[in-house]
Amino acid sequence: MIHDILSENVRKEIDSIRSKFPHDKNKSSIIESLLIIQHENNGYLNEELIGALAQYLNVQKIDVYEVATFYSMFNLKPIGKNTISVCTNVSCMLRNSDQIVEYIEKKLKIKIGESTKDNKFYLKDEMECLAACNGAPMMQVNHVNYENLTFEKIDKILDGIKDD
Amino acid sequence: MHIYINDTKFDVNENDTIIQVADRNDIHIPRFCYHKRLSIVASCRMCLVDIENVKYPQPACSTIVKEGMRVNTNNRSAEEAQKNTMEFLLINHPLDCPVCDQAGECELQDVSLEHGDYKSAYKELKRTVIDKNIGELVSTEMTRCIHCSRCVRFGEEVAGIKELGMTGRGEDTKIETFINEGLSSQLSGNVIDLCPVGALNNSLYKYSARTWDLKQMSSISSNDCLGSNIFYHTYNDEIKRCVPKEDEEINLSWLSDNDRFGYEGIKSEERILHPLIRHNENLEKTDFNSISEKFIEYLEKYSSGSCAIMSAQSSCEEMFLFQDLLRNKNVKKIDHRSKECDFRYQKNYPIIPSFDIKLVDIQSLDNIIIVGANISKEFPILSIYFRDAHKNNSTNIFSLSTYEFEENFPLKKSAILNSQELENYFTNSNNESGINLEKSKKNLILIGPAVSYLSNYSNILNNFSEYAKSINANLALLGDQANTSGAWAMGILPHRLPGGCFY
Amino acid sequence: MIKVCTQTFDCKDPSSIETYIKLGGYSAWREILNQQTPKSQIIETIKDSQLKGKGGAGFLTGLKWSFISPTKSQKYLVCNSDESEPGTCKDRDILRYNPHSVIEGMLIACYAIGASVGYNYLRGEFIGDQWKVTNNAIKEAYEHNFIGDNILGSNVSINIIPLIGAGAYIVGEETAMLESIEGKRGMPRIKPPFPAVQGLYGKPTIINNTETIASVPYIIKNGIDWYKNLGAGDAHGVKMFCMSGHLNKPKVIEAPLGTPFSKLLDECNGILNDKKLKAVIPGGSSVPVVKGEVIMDTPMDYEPLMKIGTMLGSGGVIVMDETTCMVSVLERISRFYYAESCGQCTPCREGTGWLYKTLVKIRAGQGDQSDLDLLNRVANQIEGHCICALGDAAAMPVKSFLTNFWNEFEYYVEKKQSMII
Repeated sequence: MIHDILSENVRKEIDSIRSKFPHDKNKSSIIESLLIIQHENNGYLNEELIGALAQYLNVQKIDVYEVATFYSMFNLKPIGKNTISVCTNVSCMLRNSDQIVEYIEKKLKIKIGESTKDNKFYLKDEMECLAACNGAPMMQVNHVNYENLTFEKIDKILDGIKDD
Repeated sequence: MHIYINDTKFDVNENDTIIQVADRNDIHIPRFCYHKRLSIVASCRMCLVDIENVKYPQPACSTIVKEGMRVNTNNRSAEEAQKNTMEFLLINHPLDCPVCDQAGECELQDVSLEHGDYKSAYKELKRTVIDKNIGELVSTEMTRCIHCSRCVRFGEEVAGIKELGMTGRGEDTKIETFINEGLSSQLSGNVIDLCPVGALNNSLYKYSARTWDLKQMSSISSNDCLGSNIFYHTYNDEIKRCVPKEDEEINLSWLSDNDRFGYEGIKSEERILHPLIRHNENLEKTDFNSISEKFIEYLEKYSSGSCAIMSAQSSCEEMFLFQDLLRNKNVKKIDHRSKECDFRYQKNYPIIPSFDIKLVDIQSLDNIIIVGANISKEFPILSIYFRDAHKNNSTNIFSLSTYEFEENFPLKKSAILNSQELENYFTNSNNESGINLEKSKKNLILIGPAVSYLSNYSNILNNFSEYAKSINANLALLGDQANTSGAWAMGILPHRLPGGCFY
Repeated sequence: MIKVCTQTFDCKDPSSIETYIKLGGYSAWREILNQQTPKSQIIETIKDSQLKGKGGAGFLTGLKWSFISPTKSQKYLVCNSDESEPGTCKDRDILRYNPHSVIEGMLIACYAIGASVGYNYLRGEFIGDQWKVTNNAIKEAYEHNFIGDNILGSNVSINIIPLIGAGAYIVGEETAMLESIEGKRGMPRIKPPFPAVQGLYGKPTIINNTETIASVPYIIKNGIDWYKNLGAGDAHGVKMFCMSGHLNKPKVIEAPLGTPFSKLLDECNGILNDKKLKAVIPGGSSVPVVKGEVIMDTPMDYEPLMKIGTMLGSGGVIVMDETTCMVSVLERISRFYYAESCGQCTPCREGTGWLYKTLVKIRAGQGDQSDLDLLNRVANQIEGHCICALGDAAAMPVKSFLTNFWNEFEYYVEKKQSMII
């Protein structure tokens, strides 16, 4: 049942998210709850988890699914453990972000949007500007910013991530 | 207050939108997302009209009138805007009208003929959408979808259960159900009518006729006692589909799925299409002429000891003739209540049991107590009124039932009771019901058909009508068949003649 | 150099409440609580200071506040920290280096408009750093009783609540943000009704950008004239400019409004590798591009930028040198709006894709002259025809790139390659 799908820890966090909104506004908790659930589930969501959240919040499943498919930070398919998002928007593009992507693609032997064979990395197809334009080119690895990237820097950052 | 549309002056109300004024006065404004019974989203941008001193054309569906406003629905600016929207709608719409059921009654087709161009400047690949199964009744061809979201809003706002949603974003926005789910609402078929294109189709009708070959005939639905107005569409004297006929006092623009798809029963193999006569153990096929001779013969012979049962699905005329014939032949035991077992109530029952108030007046009620009915399953059209009453008038709705179910409108309180508990619900001296209705409020008690099957129906009915009197409530009686009221009025009863005279 | 929103930036431990208080933080809030300052007085002060919305639209903040419905029912304040206009990276610095100015600003704004709850909505991608700092700062402020029930014994109760998104540019549009807070897809609402009348959960709501909110405590503390006089020339107040692109030292500069572009350029040590300036997008990628020589001496303020055919927008100044291929820059910009269109309005849903695909085609050497006309036509068909401004944001770059650099586009479709080698 729902308790098997959503861990106690997750349910506790969802409860605290709910306390941010008026008591009858259950939908408001969907986005933040999904982030928590996704984080606990190796970075992606599935049918069962979405259904469980809908049940827990007492909203329609389609309400949750609409949200899960609208926001770009939600993944509906399994992805590699570490997410790399290279900003390729205009400011970064002017500072050669395309070469950065190309370098990472070659280094990890994947194309943008794919995960590595060992499932260690996921190279997200990031369309948005990540708001670090003065540090271009930049990337986020697991939502930590790395700015003024060079190939050497990338090697250091990615090689430094342990296999765990 | 007044405004000008295309230089003609019109009286308007304060909160009218331009499209409402135009519709009232037969001025045509093309539209897709707008529907008079759904909320306004103004997203299709088809109804753009020109307003004097406003830089860009504005949507007629969401723009509220202002004193002296001058609107143009067909000058260069308006027409250009409409043409532009049409171009955008068509770039990703497949040119598959020859194999589309909607062709001939397609809003997109009609509007594109009026406002579209005959050639497309779009040379890129068109969007395609993979369809999934959303159930037996509604089939999908979502590549044709123009994202008007009428179907989504219908689920949320009318059917009370959101099953279709908008997923993805931008150009990849899709209308779909949750991953592997189908439609379950008893009103789901309405999305077929609402869909302005051939994206949501009638599964049962699919590919069986072309719309322009169909003949249209008015009728009344016989699937519940509400009497929804319908059109049957026929081809070669065969019913091909059933659609709602607008009725402001009953089914509005909608139909329940039973109403819409119930005609399938006509084609059922289990249906008795010929009279049958029993020879020893076997039923044998015969024809109407020989059976009527036989019938009269038997009637003369056995009339005094016979009883007759007639379905309350029949028309009043049929029922009148039925009882007239039988009573003339001295058959006294006539009835239509095949599922009841407690008849003590019958003497005091109304001559024509009815809903007691008009459906449109449900909106103004303060409290409704439902006794023994699952409104959203058994009377889906009624559930629309209940939802609206709750939404617009904060009507409190209570439900007392002998079985478990869900409703598509919020219940203030619901209780599952056995028949004895139901009987005594309001008569217990220590009233623990938690339902305390004031006499001064507008109250309605509604008795569902399931109650009539209970062995203590008479007591229940008695107690609830006493309670109704005590709180000044109307008492609505929902028949279990389409014309239960007619059966009572026409004397398909052992104790009453047509018109209610005691027998 | 003046410092308003950036005051704490160079301090040690800039985000801590101690640092903020040391620099006079929360004194404006204390003063209001002590004096029980009339709400209307605060709104008038902000109005008179000429503080304008710094998220992009540049609407007078005080005027916006004055539109709040005077009902006694629940009202809300929303701080828009969904910074995602390409080229803009100022709010992220405020959020991580001066979070308490946002909190104090939100408290004052809540007080002024009569809201008991203020939500600060951060974009999802800020979950790593800014989200943690914001949560921590709010916790600190609660501990000091600057937020909460009966604040500092004043009988005033206001709650400040942080929220986080999950990746959608469109949520930066104020009504889309309300939808998102309500837990739905971020699809902008039709206006009217405006949020000040019917906003979050149908209640009157004011939405302000982070930088705008962060400016409020300083204005209340230092007065109308102080703030107005910070501007250069005819301009009033300051603005954070996010200098990015081909610069030797890209950075966020808080400078007087009305500062000439050339001076900002100098602050960044000029164009990267001493190349020639070619073009500038002065207010985030949504605003029209202008040629370098046109903007060089223009004061960076609302009016003067309008005069040269562009806008101040969010202050995201994207600088391009002579080596920039304008066709590929436009393609990238168009990809963004295509990817971020919410999908509800027909012209934007269908048109942004058409623009992007056409540009991809041109860049692939498969375009011709008619495609350039098509780009212009489609852009015009989107602009002004949608519920929100995303359609305009997709259209304006296309039109301005074509107008200003027509020859470069023409070269591309003729020679099937970029003019820039």
